[in-house]
Amino acid sequence: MSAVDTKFYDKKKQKMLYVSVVFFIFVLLLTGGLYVYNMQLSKANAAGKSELSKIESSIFELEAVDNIQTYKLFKRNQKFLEKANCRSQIPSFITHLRRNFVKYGLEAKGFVLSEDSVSTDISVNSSDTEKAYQKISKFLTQYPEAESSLFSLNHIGDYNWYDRIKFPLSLTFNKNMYEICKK
Amino acid sequence: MKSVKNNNNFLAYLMVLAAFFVLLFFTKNIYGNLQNTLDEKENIATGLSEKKKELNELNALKSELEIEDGEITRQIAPYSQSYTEQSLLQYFYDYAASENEDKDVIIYRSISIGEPEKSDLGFKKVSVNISWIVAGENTLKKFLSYLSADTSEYKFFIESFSYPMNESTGNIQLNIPLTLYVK
Repeated sequence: MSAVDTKFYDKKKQKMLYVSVVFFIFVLLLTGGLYVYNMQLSKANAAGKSELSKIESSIFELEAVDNIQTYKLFKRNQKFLEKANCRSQIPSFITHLRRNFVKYGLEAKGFVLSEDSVSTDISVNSSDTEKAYQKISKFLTQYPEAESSLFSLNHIGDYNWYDRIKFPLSLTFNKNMYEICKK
Repeated sequence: MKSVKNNNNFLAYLMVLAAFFVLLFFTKNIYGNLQNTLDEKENIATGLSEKKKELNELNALKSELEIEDGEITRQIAPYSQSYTEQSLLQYFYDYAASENEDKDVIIYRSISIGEPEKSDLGFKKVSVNISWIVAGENTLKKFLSYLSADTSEYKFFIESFSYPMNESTGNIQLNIPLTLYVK
């Protein structure tokens, strides 16, 4: 009886052992490497957090400065304040309304400014050269188109037509007004 | 000899098993932690970049606000003022005194100063109501311009205004509600 050649199987077993050892070492190295890398990243993150905390503390201190707080409030409300500032330019409105009432032959006893609008009662007399309705018509067509007009006309509707024409006039600030104000 | 070879086989399996054990119970956890650490790193980097930018902007703003006649300083000057009832009374009195000189062109009938209230803007809102008589429209316009000027010590906003235009040739009696925004 001849003996079976087992060398092939022995070599295979030996090779399997090497491969498994290499695999085991690779897993250990991978795990160790990941662990070390994670540790380093954690340390870097801790340093980053500390720096972030310092910066936040500096920001907090700066934000507590009175002028900076005021500036932030101002910036947050700048549009509102600019509009409110424009609405407060009463002398310009008085001059503007007076000039235009004279120009179109309208008479007003005064006006009331509230929010974004001005309201007043207008009365118009006929003159030798122009009828009352012609003056009103001229005002209604020319004023809204004029480059210098600060207001838009609201719907009027009711005209009292006796010896003179009377009507309530309501005007709303237009974009022009805010542009002029910015300048 | 056969026993050693069998051991090789056993060792190989043991190594593979140990490697999988390490992979499952250590490497997997470390990898999970690493992912979290990397996410944290990214968040910290983003946070640092944003906060550094914010800090730089605040430092630049602080420097600008330290310039006495700078644009920003002038913009926020009206809102940086501190006030007392006495200082406001003095302010109105001084203006009238400077305008009046030898004749009374501005006569206050009453001045009502409200308590500061919190406003939606973040500024404190102080309501002041002046009832007064002025000699003519020009005096009125001049005073109203002074009240709402950026360069004045206090900047008032006029939210509503009722003006009797027909009385503009003589003395004008008016009530003006004013609003002051202060830090």
